[in-house]
Amino acid sequence: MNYFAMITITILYLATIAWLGYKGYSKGQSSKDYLLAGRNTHPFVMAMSYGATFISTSAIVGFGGISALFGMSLLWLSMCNVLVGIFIAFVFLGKRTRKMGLTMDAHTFPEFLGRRLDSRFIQIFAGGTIFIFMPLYTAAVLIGAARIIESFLGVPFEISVLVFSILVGAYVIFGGLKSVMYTDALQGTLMFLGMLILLIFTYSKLGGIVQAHRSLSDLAYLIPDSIKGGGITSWTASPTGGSPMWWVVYSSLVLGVGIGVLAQPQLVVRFMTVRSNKELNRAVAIGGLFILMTVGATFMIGPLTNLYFQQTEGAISIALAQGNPDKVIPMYINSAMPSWFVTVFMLVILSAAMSTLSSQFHTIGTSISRDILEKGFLHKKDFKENRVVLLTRIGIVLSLLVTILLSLKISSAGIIARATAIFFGLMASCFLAPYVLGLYWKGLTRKGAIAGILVGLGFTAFGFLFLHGKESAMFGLCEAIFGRPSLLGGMWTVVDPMVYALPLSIIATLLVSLVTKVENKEKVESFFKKL
Amino acid sequence: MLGFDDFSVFLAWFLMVLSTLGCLVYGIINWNKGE
Repeated sequence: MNYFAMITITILYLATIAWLGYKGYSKGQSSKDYLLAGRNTHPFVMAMSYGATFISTSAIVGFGGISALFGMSLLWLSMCNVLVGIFIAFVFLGKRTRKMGLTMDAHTFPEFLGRRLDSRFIQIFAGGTIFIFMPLYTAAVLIGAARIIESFLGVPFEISVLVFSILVGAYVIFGGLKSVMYTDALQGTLMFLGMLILLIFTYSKLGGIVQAHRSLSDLAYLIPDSIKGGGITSWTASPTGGSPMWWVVYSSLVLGVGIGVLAQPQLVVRFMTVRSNKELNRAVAIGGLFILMTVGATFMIGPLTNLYFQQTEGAISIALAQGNPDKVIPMYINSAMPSWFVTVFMLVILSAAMSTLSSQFHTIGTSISRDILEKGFLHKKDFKENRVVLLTRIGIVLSLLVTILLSLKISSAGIIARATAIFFGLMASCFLAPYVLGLYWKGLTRKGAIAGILVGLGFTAFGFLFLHGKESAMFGLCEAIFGRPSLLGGMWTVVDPMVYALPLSIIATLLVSLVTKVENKEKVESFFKKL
Repeated sequence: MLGFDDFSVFLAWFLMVLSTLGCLVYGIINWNKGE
């Protein structure tokens, strides 16, 4: 397929997105529409929006490339994504979140926590955490998309970052969450079909499922010494137990993202966009299948790129990508797939990026307007409906600018998967304990929740500044104070801070709640009565 | 087992497929449950 055809298809795709964005805009512009898609979203739209928001270029390009390095042990993450990210999230958290959110009239994740605990501080603090740290994750997604545009269309990286983010920002600003979810549904469908085709193509090229896995197992001798020494012995086996790579795979990637998904503000808010539990029940089936076909396929295809490139180029994929895992999947598509599929896959990746980016911009925007400005500075004024929407739009523009600047600053090798894991781990360490306990335990107190949030944030920050090798070396604070890049050696340099920050946050939340009184007992009773 | 080098990765693959089937069965059984 020539360059002209590729550009034409891309323009048609963007025109369809613009039409869906307008459709969302035309369906209403109240704050309930703009912030919660009117609370009457169709189950297919909700499930695809949840899945497409969850799965971004970080998963397909970032983690796909990482799986080419670490092998199929990342299938534990896709298992977690289905079991925890869909089944447990929807059945055990989603239904209660929807009902309690409706009872409390919460429009955002920070507002949900703030109203459940009757605390303005918690809402502002959660909103501030999202505003400060989410742009890191947003930038990772944007970098993934810009790399794809650069690779397939030849547009320079900086221009790709600028144009793509403005395109996404435009329909989020005008249409709000309705536009975001309508476009997500189309983008999710494209992702599902594209990844299904890619999975079938890959296995048929490599001789079928069992043959492909066996041939990949036979290539263990080609694993680079740098990671072989770390514990990777085969691309179809787990890293050696307790080795540095074992900790990276299971603590940062599997636990960090697999559990971290439960406290993602842009996903939690999806539960509050449907009318009843019927929609959530239906979304479980659709969402499970979607995650299997996107993440599961990615983590099977990533390692198999080594086999393909060894057979065709005589070298493994990470060597051909010059050590940058973020380039493996785009390189594989360009080399292995028919030209018509290169265009399809480019749209798949653009869809993955747009669906996640739009939700991230919307979440950061609502955090600024609804959770920080409205709650923190303007709470005593008469807050009119149209001013909420206007402030959210200003917040989205601000998030757009911060993300663009960050994307141009941090676009180093392997940053996509790392930045995603950091944000997922941070959100879980800070907010998972008060969120889950708030749904199930009447005894959770405001002080207990604040203790859990601060302990989670404190230990995550301590871990990244003084223990976790890569980040502590990058920040340089540990080196400046103690004269070495990490306070403790050995496994502590590779254990993700979430491994200790989350349990400590849970313990702090429980202990402080047990020794303090529930401040808003009557309200809490009314919240639970309707569950 | 499916050409994987160790049981752990096979188990991950198996549980991933099983979880997806669980989601499908749950969704279908409760398709009209939930006014």
